[in-house]
Amino acid sequence: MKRTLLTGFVMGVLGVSLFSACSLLHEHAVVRFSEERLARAHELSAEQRAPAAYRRFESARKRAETAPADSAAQSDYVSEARLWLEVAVTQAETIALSEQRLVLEREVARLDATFLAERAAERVRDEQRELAAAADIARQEAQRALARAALAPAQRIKLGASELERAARSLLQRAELIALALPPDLASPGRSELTQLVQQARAALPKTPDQALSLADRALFRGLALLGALRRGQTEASPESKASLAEALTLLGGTTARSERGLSVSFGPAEANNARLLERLCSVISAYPVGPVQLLFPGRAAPSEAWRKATQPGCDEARVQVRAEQASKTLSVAFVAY
Amino acid sequence: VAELSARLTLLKSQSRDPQVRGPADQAALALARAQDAKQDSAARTRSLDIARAALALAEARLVLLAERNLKQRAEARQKSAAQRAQVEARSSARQNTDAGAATGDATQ
Repeated sequence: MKRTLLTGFVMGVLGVSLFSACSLLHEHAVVRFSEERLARAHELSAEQRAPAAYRRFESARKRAETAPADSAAQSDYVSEARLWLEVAVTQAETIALSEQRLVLEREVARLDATFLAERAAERVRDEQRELAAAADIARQEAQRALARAALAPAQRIKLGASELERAARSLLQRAELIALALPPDLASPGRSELTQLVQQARAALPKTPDQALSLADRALFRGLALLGALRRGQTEASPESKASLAEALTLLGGTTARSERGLSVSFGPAEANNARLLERLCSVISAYPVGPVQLLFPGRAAPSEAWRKATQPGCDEARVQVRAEQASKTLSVAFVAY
Repeated sequence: VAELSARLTLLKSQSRDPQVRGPADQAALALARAQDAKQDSAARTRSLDIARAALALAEARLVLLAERNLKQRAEARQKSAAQRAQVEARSSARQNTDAGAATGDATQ
């Protein structure tokens, strides 16, 4: 009986020990996962980027490690763990791509903003260019209109006395500046005439601004003619002289153009016989003494009488070639050297 | 099981890519196993866990494919914007040169 009990006790102890050993073995069963996938998960910081999936992987791995070796349960837990590891890797990869895309999107947004800002600046530049061009055209038209108005006072819109006075003062100032610019040793009948015209215009200003304006205009062009004496030594026209002549011709109210005939200005047929225009033209010709000047009168057989009357020193026949052009309808003046 | 089946059907309708179809098929298999193991609740739970994980993987891959697509588009947009900026810069430089020349002419 005792032997039976002893044997039973020993068998029991052995059984418990075996069970414990087996349990211990089960608890420490090592389940291998792909090193490559684990390294990839580490590389992508899957634990931080996809914490939920990674926790599930760890949980399934623990269950696999505690499950009986080679059991169906262990196999299932290993499959689940592998799947969750893949989920963690995939989610981490997606987040990494998203982060890269965010950088790209920011760059695109920056480039778009720069592009839009440049477009806006370009639009502003275009508008400014258009405004400047429009202002230029308006200024030229105004100058032409004023020139035409000066040539035909009867057709001019009536200006107020203060406006006339302002215009006369402005022209007078320019005429006086030209008078000051003339060399003191320049003895010319035109000089005394200029002084006289300026004085007359000054005197007429308070009472008859209209007459003062007319006198100031004549003084200005007479002064311009005298400037020719300063340029007389020039053998060829400088770029500054060319620009200055173009401005003076615009002041006359004509249409200026540059062609193979040099710088030319043309006026409508109605103005071809205008004595005041011809007198002004003569002043401008005198002011720019380089090279010959061609004058083409429209549809006339001989130079007009008005031109002969307007002729001053400097507009001599030798320099100015006056011709009649049957086919032309405009009075055309070409400064060949300019 | 019903919820997992619905997600699986939706997923299969959204992509035919083998990278998505692989885990989706695995999820379908696990779901079938779960339905077969009605008597063994432990086996049924494990099969459902596998189905859940496989489905999560299929969904994650679907999102990854979409993200790759978005990134490719963003790269193309960035390239195009950079080229446009280059053209714009050249054009702007040319305009500035022209404007400078025009100002020079006007000054003369």
